[in-house]
Amino acid sequence: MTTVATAAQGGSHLVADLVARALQGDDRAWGALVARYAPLVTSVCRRHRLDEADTLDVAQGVWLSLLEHLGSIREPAALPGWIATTTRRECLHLLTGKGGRQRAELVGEVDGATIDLTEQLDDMIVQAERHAALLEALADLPPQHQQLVVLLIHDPPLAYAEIGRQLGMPIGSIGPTRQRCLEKIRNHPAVAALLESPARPAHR
Amino acid sequence: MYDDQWTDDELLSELGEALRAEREVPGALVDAGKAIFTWRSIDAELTALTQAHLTYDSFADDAALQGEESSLLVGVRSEQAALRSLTFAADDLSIELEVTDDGVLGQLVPPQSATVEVLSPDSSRVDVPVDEVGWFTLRPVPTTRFRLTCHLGSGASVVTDWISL
Repeated sequence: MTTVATAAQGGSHLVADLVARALQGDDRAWGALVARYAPLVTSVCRRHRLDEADTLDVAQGVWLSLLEHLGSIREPAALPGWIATTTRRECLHLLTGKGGRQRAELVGEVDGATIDLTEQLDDMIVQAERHAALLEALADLPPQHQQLVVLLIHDPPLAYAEIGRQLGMPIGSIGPTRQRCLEKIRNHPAVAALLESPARPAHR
Repeated sequence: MYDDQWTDDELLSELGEALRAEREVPGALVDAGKAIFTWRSIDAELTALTQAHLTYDSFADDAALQGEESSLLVGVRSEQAALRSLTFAADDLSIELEVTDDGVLGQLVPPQSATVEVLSPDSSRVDVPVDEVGWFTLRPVPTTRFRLTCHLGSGASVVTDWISL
């Protein structure tokens, strides 16, 4: 499915760099890889209806596998797919191994949903890569602009007057700054790579 | 080309979803993942040892050991064994484990004295006493996954796959 591959292109350079640095023993680069893929691992676990303790157990298995396979990653664009399938495998092992008998009913439910899950995995990978690219772009904004974006997407929405008050910004400059921030995010290499791909995911 | 791009509102709503997904990640998940980096040095040490692989798990059938997911599910449903038992085998040594409510009973086969160590993902290592006929007990049942290393009298060392109970 081209969507998965193209969605992953955007972050490839960053990921390749993080992998190379982690292999050289840079623990911050490793930490960045963990943080980047943690939402994907979490969402696959949620889909398997794992509670928090089991999610942590599965994640531990995924990180250990990642650490072992770090040296054999040839194609960083394939990494999100690898993370998702490894997480799914760990989820199934956990559901059938640990306390398997007590969980038989739950496994039955998951079994019924197996086909759905396989189809959903690709969507989850594309979504996770889209989110990672956007968060990467957001993190590259100056701190005050990051705060502005966070307030702009606050739920429930905040009035410009309130946003201006919190940031000490004149109301009149919020609109133009918002515009500049969004332009910077849109033009960020990681995001631009997503937008250039013909397989941009549909919006609701 | 511009028509293909996100509108400002779409972009903001996507950013909102990205931040929400990030917030849903348990904090301990990222912390534990970062801490695992120290495992690298132990891993390098373990690759030199003889590997003992899982050859039997009473909670799974043969197909499950080969990673067949559908069989894995069916196998477990028919499983009625009260205690879980596992066997890890290398050429000259097997490690048999039986999981009870309050601990894990271990037996080295052939029976022999040895030094057994429990290795955890956070790189902690705990020595376990082994009697002269190769019996040992892990108490309580480990809650995180672990590997066992056995340093034998012959000078050989054996390490198991990851064990998750």
